[in-house]
Amino acid sequence: MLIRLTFFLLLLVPAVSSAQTTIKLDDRNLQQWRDHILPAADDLTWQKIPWLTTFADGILSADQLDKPLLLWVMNGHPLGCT
Amino acid sequence: MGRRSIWSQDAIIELSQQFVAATDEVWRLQNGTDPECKHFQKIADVGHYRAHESTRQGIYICTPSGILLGSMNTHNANAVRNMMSEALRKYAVMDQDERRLPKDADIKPDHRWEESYPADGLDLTMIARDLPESCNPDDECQSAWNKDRIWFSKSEMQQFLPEDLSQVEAGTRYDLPEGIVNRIVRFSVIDTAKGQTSYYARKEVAESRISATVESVDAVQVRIRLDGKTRATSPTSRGREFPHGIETELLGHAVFDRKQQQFSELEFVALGKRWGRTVFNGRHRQLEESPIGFVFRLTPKDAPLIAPSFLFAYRANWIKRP
Repeated sequence: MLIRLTFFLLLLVPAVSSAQTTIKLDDRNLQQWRDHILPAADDLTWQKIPWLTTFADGILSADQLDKPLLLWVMNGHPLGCT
Repeated sequence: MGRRSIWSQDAIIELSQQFVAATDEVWRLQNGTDPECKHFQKIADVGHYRAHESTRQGIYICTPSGILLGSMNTHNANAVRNMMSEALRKYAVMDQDERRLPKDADIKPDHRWEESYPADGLDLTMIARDLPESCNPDDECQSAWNKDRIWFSKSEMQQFLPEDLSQVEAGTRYDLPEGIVNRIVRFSVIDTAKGQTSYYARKEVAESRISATVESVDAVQVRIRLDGKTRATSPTSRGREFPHGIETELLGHAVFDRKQQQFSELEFVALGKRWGRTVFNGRHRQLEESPIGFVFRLTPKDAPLIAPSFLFAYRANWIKRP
């Protein structure tokens, strides 16, 4: 029981201290943070769909190609900030 | 969230090839009075929200003529796939005259904010992301992220550089003008990783600064290092807004091509913490401080033309307004 409790407490210690860590941005970690923040390939899979950027362009293209229009509209442009 | 839960699914990506896919910002479409907006309203007003809700956001499938074939607002990929399949069946049995746009139809918008794109200026993309609580960049996390654009005219772009390039030497240090800093901090270093947020008022970003140091200069290019601190706070509740704020440290670089009169490189990172919430930014259960990070970089020339969310609020005479 004591061993289990000690193990559990050991797990907690890094979690508590890391939550109090403040981020320091410097020349050494700049590239790492940049890479961490930028979208990974998985984040961008939705861009495989060739989205047109306006409703009117979608209607005109759908008419030209005689296809139905698949329209995704949000508060904030879905290809920008939404 | 729809980016991942719906539009990243292989079956939906494949099925989408049988459609023309388009995206747009819904507020203008549902409230505007020009022919493009009216055409959208004809479809959306019989869709999932009809006239009952204040928003019409979601997914619609329609004929070019404006007949609704299906609509919903969901993160359920199966439901969307089923709707797409059903819409294709409906479309296939319709007459050409019924589904095509009438020859004399007008769906041209009167105004779009994209018309203000500063082709000879500066177009940056901002990526915002929630950071791991450990504050360790090596820790993997599938965290929320979002993006936006920030635009500067040619004359505003030149304000990233020293006033007189002929007098500049390595080591020259200067502060970016208040107008440039304000645009970055008020409209882009904002807590938008989990959803749309509001921008800050001028008086709420008073303690922000971005400085530049010339690292090298010659006849071909000027290389500068960027550093700074941003702080924006909105301390009081205002309507449906709650107290919120954000502060970051900023570091990056830029290279100005003197022949092209354009930046060939410009990238900076801002890291710090956010707190509080706005109406729609998804922080109602996360009022306490948490780490957040931003990357600002040049937008690739082949990127879709999307206007910055808060372009309408820029104090700039080059913006074409409705």
